[in-house]
This record gives sequence, C-alpha cells and structure tokens, in this order.
Amino acid sequence: MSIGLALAILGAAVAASAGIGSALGVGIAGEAADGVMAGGNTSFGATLVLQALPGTQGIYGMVIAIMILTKTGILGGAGIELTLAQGIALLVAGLPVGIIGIWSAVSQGKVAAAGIQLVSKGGSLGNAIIYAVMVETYAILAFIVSFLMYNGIAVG
Amino acid sequence: MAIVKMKKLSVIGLQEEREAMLRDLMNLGAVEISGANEKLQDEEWQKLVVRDGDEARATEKDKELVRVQQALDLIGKYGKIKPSAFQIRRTVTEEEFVGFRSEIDRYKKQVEEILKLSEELTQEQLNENAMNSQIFALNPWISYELPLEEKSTDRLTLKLGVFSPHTDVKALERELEKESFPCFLEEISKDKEQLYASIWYFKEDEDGVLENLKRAGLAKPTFADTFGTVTENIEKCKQKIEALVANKEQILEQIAEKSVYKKDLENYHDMIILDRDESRIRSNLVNTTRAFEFDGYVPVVATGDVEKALSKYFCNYEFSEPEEEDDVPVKLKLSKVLSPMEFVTKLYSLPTYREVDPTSILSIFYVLFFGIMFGDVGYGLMLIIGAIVAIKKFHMVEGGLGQLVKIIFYSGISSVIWGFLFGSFFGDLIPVVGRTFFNHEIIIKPIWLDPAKEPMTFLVFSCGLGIVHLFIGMGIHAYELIRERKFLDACNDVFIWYAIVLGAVMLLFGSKVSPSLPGIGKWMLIVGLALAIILPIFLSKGVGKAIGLWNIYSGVSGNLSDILSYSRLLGLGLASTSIAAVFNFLASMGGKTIIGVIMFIVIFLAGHTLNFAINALGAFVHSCRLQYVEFFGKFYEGDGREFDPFDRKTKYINIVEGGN
Repeated sequence: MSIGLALAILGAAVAASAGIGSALGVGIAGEAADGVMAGGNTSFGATLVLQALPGTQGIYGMVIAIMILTKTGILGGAGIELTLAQGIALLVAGLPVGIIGIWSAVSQGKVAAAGIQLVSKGGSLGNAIIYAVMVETYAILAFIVSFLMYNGIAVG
Repeated sequence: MAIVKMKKLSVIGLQEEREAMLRDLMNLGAVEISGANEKLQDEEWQKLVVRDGDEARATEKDKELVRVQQALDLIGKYGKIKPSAFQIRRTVTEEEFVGFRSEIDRYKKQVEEILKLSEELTQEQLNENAMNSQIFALNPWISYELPLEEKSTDRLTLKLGVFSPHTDVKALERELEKESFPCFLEEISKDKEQLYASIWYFKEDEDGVLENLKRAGLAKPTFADTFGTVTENIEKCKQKIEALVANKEQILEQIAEKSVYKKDLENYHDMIILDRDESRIRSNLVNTTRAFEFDGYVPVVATGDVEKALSKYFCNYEFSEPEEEDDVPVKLKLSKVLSPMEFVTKLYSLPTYREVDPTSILSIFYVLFFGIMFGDVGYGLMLIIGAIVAIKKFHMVEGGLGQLVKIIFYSGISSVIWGFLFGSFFGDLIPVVGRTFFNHEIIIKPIWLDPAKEPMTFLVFSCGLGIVHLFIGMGIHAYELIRERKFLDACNDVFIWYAIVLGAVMLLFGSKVSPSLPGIGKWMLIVGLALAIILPIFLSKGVGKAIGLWNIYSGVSGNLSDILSYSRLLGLGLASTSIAAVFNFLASMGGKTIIGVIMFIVIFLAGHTLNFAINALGAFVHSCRLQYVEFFGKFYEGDGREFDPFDRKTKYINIVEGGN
C-alpha cells in the first residue's frame, strides 16, 4: 500500500468524523426532548423530528467517506496505488464535510433543543424546524465543496 | 389567487331580535364579528353603551362540554367501536339538528350514566390499590404464624414492630435485660429498608420497655389492624382483589355497552358548542337599554347573503370600505388545485390585507425545488402512493392535514419528473441489481443530466433558477411600490439591482452564449452601480444622501448570498441520490449468493427507508426555507390576521341545508 492510499483513507476517516458532531447534536436535542416529554402535552413526533435534524451531517460525512473509499478501490476492488499528491488531495477533500459537519451539527443540536422547548410551550413546529435548518445550510455547503473536490480529483 | 376583498359591516338592532339574528348569522357563517374593544376604549362610545356578554353561560357550557367530551373519550377508549384514525364529520340536515334539541334531557342522562360508571370504576381502582398496599405491607410478616389479634396473655404483652435494618435484636434484648426489663425479641424478616420483629415483655414493664425500644428506633408496622394470621389476611386481600377485578371488568363492559350513545353524545357535544359560541360572541356586542350594536367584516362576495339575512329584522345595517388603519382580516382565495399550498404560506404567516398574496408563485417554485432536491422516480412514487392512500383510505382531506397530504402528492409528481431527468430510480438500483445478480450491465441514461457527473452545470442551473425566483420576488416588491406611486423607490430597490445582477452574470458567463454579451453586461453593471449611488441622494434626507455606497455593499453581499443559497438544490439533490447509491452499493456487497440476496433486501429496505425519511423532510424544509428567507425576504411582510367568521364550529357533525 502506498502512502498516497493511506492518506486517502485518512481523508475518508476525517469525512466520517462529521458523525462526532451529529452524535453530540442529536444527544443535546434528545436531552431537551426527554425534558419536555416529562411534562406531557408535547407530541412525540414533533420532538423526534427536531431531534433527528442534526443527524444529517453524519450522513453527509459517511457519503463522502464511502465515495472516497470506492474511488480508491478500498471498497469493492483492489486498492489503487495513488501518488502522494493524489492521496493528499483526497485527504483534503474530506476536510470540509468532516470539520464543518462537527461544528454545524453541534450548533444545530442546540438550536433544535431550543426548538423543542419552543414546541413544548405551544410554539409552531414549522418555525422550530426552519430555525434549526438554517444551521444546516453550512453543512450542505461543506458537502458541496467536498463533493466538488472529490469529483475533480482524477485517480488511477 | 388573491386576498378576498372585505367590507366592513356595522349593525344596530333591537334587543328582542338579537338572539334570532345572531343565530341566522352563525348559520350563514360569513361575518366576523369584532370591534367591541375599540369602541369601549372610545370615550364618546363609553357614554352611550355597555358591553354585552354572557360569559357566565359560556363558562357553564364549557363545563358541560368537558363532561360530554369525557363521556365520549370513555366510550371511545373502552367501547367496541373501532376508532377511525382520522375524524370525518357526519352529515346531518338542518331539520334533524333542530330535532336534537328536544332530546337534551335524554342526552344529559346518557352523560350522567357514563360518568357515574367511570366514577365507580375509579372507586374500585382505589379499593384495589388499598388491597395491594395491604398485601405489600403484610408480605414481610409472612413467617409470623400467630393470629394478629393475639396481643397479650395473662402476664405478657406481644407487640409487632419495625426497626432499621442494621438493628441487632439479640443485642437489644440483652441491653433491656440489663436494665431489668426481661423480654424476648425475635426477628421475623429483614429487607433493604427495614427489619421486622415480634416483641414479648411483661405487662408491668410496658413503659420502660417501650421507652428503650423507641430509642432504638421502634416503629409500628404499616398494615391496617386486622384479625387472623398474616397468611389468612393476604389470602383474603387476594380474594377481594379478584372480586374487584371482576367488578371492574363488569363496569368496563357496561361502559362499552354505552357505545350506542356515541352518535347522540356527538350531537349533544356539537349542540353545546353552538350554544357556547352564541353566548361567547356576545362579548363582541355593545348594548343600550333597547338596542345592540356590532361591527364586523364580510367578504364582498357574501354581502348579498348577509343583506338578505339582515333584512328580515328591524335593524339598521351598513356596509363600508375598510379604512387605512383598520385591522382587516385576511382570507386567501385560490383555485382548487393551488389551495393546499396555503399551508406553506400560513406556516410562515398570512399576508396582510393590503399585500400581494404570494401563494400562487410560491406553489410553483415550492414544488419545483422539492422535486430537484428529492429527484428520484422511486421515492417520488412512494410519496404519491402514500398521499393517495392517505386520501382514499384514511380520508385525510379536511384542514391542515388534508392540505399537507395534497402538497406531498404534488411534491411526489415533481420528484418523479426530476427523477427521470436525473435518471435515478432508488438511486442507481437498476444498474446495481443488473450487475450484481444478472451479470448484465444496464445503463440508464438520464434524460437531462446526472448531477453527480456534471455538478458544475447543475450548480449554475441551481443558482440561475435562484436568480429567476429572486427576480420575481423583487418584481412583486416593485409592483407594490409602484402601486403606492413610489417610482424612484422601485428603481432604487429593484430595477437597478436587476441591472447589476444581470450585468454581472452577463459579464462573467455571457461569453459562452455570445461574444457581445460581456460588453453589454459591463455597461449594465456600470449604469446600475452608478444609479445605486445617485438615487439615494434624491430619496433620502441629510446623512442618508450618502447611503448609496452602503447600499452597494449590502446589496451586493445580500444578493450574492441569496443566489448562492440556491446551491442547496445541488447539495440536497446530490445527497438524496448519492446516499441512495451508497446504500445500493453496500447492499450489493454480498454478491450473487442466497445470503447476498437476503442481505441485499435487508440493507436495501433499511437504508432507503432512512434516506427517504431524512431527505423527504430535508427537501420539504429547505424548499420552504428558500421561500421564506430568500423569496419572502425580497418583498413579504406577512403578519396578517386570519378571517375568523362567526360560524358553526362543530367537531363531529356537519350540518347541511335541505331535507334529504
């Protein structure tokens, strides 16, 4: 295995790290959901939707990770011998979705938690979702950037 | 396609006709009665009138309503009628409904019966709980074999007592012995919280022994005083519980039998609602000794009907145009196809009475964007089928839920169309299945493009679509400004930005279409920027004259971020198809074996369910967001008040005209 290939795998790992943020974000929102459910009068469905929102970053990360692994042949084939430059390039392609995913999911979790409070006090679920999704914008942008980088890197 | 025009109505009538007139207006359901509060704050009015109102009766009706609802809930919960998932109102004719009034006494008795049964049920439940706690208290004493009423012999006293679990009873015994209180302590059982013991001592030592034991933490056992041995008592309690449970079953059975009252109670429930609303609306009326007065709003189309209803009475009524400062309620008028999209507008806020209703334009873009972000034939079909099932099988047609279902239906159609354009069916399901199980390369060509292969083209398309969307929003803003005769503001806020944005686009990308475009674009950009600096000098006063430069900065950054925000069309579109492809890939890793097929089915179902749920929600929300933040940001104020006519807000029955 070449160092290039190892770096590309590291890139996939970094991308998948967006899951750290999602785990934290979903956790934060979940705690808030538990809290308001104890008081009754809140729809389980509404809190569940809000809790699920910070979960998307982890999925974006996983998608980029699997795409990198497929491109390099780790998944579904023999590993391709990458040059050092190609490896570094794929590593860098994993950075935006991984790093921004972590922060945006945590922030989104906080907004979702506040949204759960809002819903429990009779506020509109629609508004709460929109506020939380505002944060997601940056994860989507990061996903696009990662994807464009990934798409532009030629290997093999 | 617009906001319904309203007329202001004011009516003065005679007290003796008040009830009949209100009832007629309620049946008509076209008048919003409001405005007493403003009048009562006005001094001139204060001298003439007092507020009408019958809150006492309304409150009483509310209480009755709670009881009826309880009874209905009970028969719903224990009855044998299978509840339908969603409420559809039963149709009842006017004549039948009038007939219900004569049955009020019967209805009241029915409610009484059901609630009485429910009380009995609660009582039996309490008794059962008491028995259970008795058993719980007796259980630790189970090895104590003497009858519980046995409390002394000729010379000795027998006591049962509870100590803390760390007490050493034998040590205690010795201690008492030393104090010359001979006694016998026996541990009966012990658990985490307590130690249970029996104590024998001489009658004459009573005071001394008890004093010592209390110091050691003696407490009374928690079961109620009783006869017979512990085992007998437990057995007795168990028998009693059995009887109670049987009795409870019987009461439940009786409640279930009362299900036949369901229709009657529903009629009664809605009758009370109407009575209550009639009482409550009166706080919006003002009175003199013989006359009453109220104001309200009526949709222009309904003025004829209202006139007809009012002309029966000896009253004075007047329709007038609403004035500038009036808080006119808003009712949207949309064609049948577009009316569900009201839901999306309302989720943000209704337009004010004098604004342009954005719903029809929003509808087109909403559905378009949803399809792009969720463009997959398979997922689209799932949405369509789901919506059809919801409508046909569960009759979800009324209210907000019904609107949402129809929106999902439209969204599904859009997803299917974009799915064909992108060549996506559950991601790349068909090629993957062909490759894995049939050793056959199937190539599905997208009708337009594959977003994953040509992301840059798609990005440009997304932002281009965004510019169109934003320009329409700005156009509405210009229309509103021009309607108020503010031509220069319209130029400053809208038209110069058309020139700047279009100019910039032509300058940057125009060379791909025609070599002369960048040149034209450059001049449009220069003229636009120049006007952006010059116009504020005419529009503002004082320091504001220099605001042009700031305008350019905020306008450029604002428009740029708005346009780039539409790149989410690419992002979410890619996310839904690429996640689908990843799951297909993972599912196919088992290869062409039996285990491989099972693995494929399991991963396929789980993965696509997850992807479907996440991305359908994502597409819905982000499609809304593009409307609310980018599109509405250009022109929309919102904050309108919904038209709330005085009508029959029945829950279970739908009263219709006509005798058949």
